[in-house]
Amino acid sequence: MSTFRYPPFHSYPPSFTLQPVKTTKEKQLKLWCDLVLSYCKHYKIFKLSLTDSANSPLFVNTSIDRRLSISAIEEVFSRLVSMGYGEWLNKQANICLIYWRRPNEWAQIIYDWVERTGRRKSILTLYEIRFSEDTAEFEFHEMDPELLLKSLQVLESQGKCVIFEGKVSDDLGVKFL
Amino acid sequence: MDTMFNKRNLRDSSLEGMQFKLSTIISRETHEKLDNPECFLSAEQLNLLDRSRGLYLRYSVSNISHVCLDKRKEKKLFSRLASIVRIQLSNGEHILLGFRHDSDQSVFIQKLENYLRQHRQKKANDTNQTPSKGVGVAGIMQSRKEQVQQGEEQLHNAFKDLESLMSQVKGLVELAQKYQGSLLESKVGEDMKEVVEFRNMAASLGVDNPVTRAQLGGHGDEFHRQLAMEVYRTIEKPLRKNGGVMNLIDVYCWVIRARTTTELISPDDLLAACEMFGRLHVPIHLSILESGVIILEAGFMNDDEIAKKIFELVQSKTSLNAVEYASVANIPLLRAVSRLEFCEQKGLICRDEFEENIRFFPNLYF
Repeated sequence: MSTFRYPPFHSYPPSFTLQPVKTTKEKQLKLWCDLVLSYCKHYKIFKLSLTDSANSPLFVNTSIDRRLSISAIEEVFSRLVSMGYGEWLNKQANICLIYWRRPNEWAQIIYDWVERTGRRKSILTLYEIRFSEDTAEFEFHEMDPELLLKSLQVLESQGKCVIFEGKVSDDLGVKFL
Repeated sequence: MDTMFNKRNLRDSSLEGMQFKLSTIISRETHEKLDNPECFLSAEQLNLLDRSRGLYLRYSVSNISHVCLDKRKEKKLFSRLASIVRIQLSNGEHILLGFRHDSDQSVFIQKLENYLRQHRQKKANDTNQTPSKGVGVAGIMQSRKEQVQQGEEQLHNAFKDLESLMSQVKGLVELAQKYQGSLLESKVGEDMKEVVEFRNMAASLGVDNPVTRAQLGGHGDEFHRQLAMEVYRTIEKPLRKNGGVMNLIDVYCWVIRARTTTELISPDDLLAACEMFGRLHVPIHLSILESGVIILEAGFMNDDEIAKKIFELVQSKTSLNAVEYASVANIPLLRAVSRLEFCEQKGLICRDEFEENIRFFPNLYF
């Protein structure tokens, strides 16, 4: 996988200080949100933990010796959530799903794949969708199970599939209609 | 006062205490220079002796007022490498000790300072132990009375000081006027350059017709109004030089210095005068910073212009902190901080906080 090219503001020291002036801070958070989304898309990351990402090169620039504080990262995540580009999976564990595609977009992509490969009326496990060789070339390959379930629930609500209960999430089955 | 030193025979000396190696001693008191002397410091005495000349100086610690490193003076009398300690005696004289080693010198200063402190404490304790005068209500009343008396005395002394200051100012002004007069008389044939120089100097020093309360019959707005105009004329130039900002304290000094009269003005009068600037349409205004410091700011630069200037400065230097800005713009630090924050509010610059340092960068992205 090619290395991610950081935007210039990532090597600009003030980026790593939350700006006290409101309008400035708005724009700053927006830039960070955009960066998180493109970074996660590039590396196919579906969720970020607050504590882990505090040491990720995403929020640390060693070349200028600056890092974004955990509280600032939390604000970035909260901003993502409020804009609909993320969802707190577990507020206590501070894990946030990052929606570089939103669940309804994923739903559309998966359903397109189902239709194109003639899988309607067939039953698949969630594990198959995530790890089968057939999906290797698709973006949803190795997708986060929580996010996959959310996306399938969107399809279910549209009447395009039925989800069968299983003991663990990978055991879950889905029948596309 | 006790004799500060004793010249005695070596036999008399009791050489107690810590020994230090010195290269040279110069005593301003006895006008003596000792080469390769020996130095002994005890809690009571400082003994210095030059064996080759049989010379012996003894100083009691109680006659020493303080000790410090001497960095600037009389270096040429010592060898290049010596570090020099200056001992100030309570009679106004001093002695200089040249040490061979820096480490010796710092130990010496530390020791001697300790001894000095001990002496002072002892002295203070001695004076505090005066017998108590009376007990009960009578005692309290007595001590109150004494306090009041003491207060009155201090007040009296303070006014006496002020009076002497005023009379000195008067003398100075007379001298200046006399000098100016004589210069004008001898103008012909003199070096014109000198005259011009003096005039410039006098112009920066003096106000020709300073306003006094007496002229205007004491109190009232009129005095402050005229004083305001005088202040304006006096500080217009220095204000420009100082980046358009001056502390009220500095303004006070300028105004006092510029007044060629014996009548000083009070800080309150100055403040009252400055508060009139707005009404008089003088392009200077008073601002009170968050810290409570009062400053005068020139109105000839408006906030937007200042913000733009700061932005350009920050841009040219990549980044800037308040201290650097204060020194570049020649303004008080607190003003520099508030101006930078103003510029930040406008979104022209933004901050980088790192290890408790705040630097401002041009706002390139936000």
